Amino acid sequence: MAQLQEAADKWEVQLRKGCLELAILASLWGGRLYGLELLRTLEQESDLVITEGTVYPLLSRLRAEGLLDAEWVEAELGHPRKYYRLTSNGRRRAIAMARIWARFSAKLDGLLKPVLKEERQ
Amino acid sequence: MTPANDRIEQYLKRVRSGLRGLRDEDVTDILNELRTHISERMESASSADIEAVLQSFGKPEEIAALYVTESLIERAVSSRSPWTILRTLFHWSTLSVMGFLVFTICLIGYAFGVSFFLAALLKPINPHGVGLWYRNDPLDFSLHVGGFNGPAGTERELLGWWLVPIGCSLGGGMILLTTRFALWSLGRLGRSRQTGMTSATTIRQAPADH
Repeated sequence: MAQLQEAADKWEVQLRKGCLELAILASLWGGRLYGLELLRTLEQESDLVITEGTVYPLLSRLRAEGLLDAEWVEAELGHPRKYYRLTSNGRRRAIAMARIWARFSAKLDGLLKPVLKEERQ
Repeated sequence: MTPANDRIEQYLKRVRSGLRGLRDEDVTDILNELRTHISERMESASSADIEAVLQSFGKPEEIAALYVTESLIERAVSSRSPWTILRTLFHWSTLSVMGFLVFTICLIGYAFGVSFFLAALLKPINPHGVGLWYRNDPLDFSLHVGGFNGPAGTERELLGWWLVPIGCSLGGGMILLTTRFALWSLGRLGRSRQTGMTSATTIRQAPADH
């Protein structure tokens, strides 16, 4: 049983990893965020808990790919922060990925219905 | 400076030493961003324990390795220079078996390419010492470059001056082929980056509320 659970946990981590890029792009849909804000959003809205420091190399890659823009903004109080925002390419990528996700998960939900029904009984 | 600040700087120093090879301004930018995050975490926590904050931030070496991989792949793919490509592959080879394999193959490919070129280049300088020799044994071909005292009685030179164009095209082809293979591998690596080429755990298990 423990082994089964472990395998399911591993699968869950891989699944979350695969969704991380889409979740980041979607988090930035409503406007700019800095790293810590983005992490909090991911944690609250999507259950994605990331080893904090590893989000920054990922943001740096998305920026290199032209999906994000970044700028340092002086704060009135406290530290200057580096804010990230979606570029127009980033918005396009987010839309494309969201469409794929929605179509795929809707289909999969149908497939899973009987499985989940069984579990409830 | 407080002890916590000392500890942060010590941590960032470890990140910095892992970032060797990146541009200075990028390193400064990265360290500033990480410093802001950690300081802010410290200020927002009620009982600020620097060790706990740093632990949930991740291992400095892993974070640095993620940055370096991203930036090297990007540079290798855009520069297409064999030297940059080999450096990137070397970095990759320290991270995974697949990286080590690709690095070895490319190293051999480039070495052959350069040897053919060298042979073509040295032929005019030392026409009797450089050539493709054939011994009576049909399986024993050898390409001699420099330092060879000319053919012994049983050996025959096969290409003569043809070595120059053949060496050039074979050498060039080999280098080109190796570069294409390296870029193709790096491209594949690039697409799989997200699933983690380093052992860095990007995602932790979700809090168990289900």
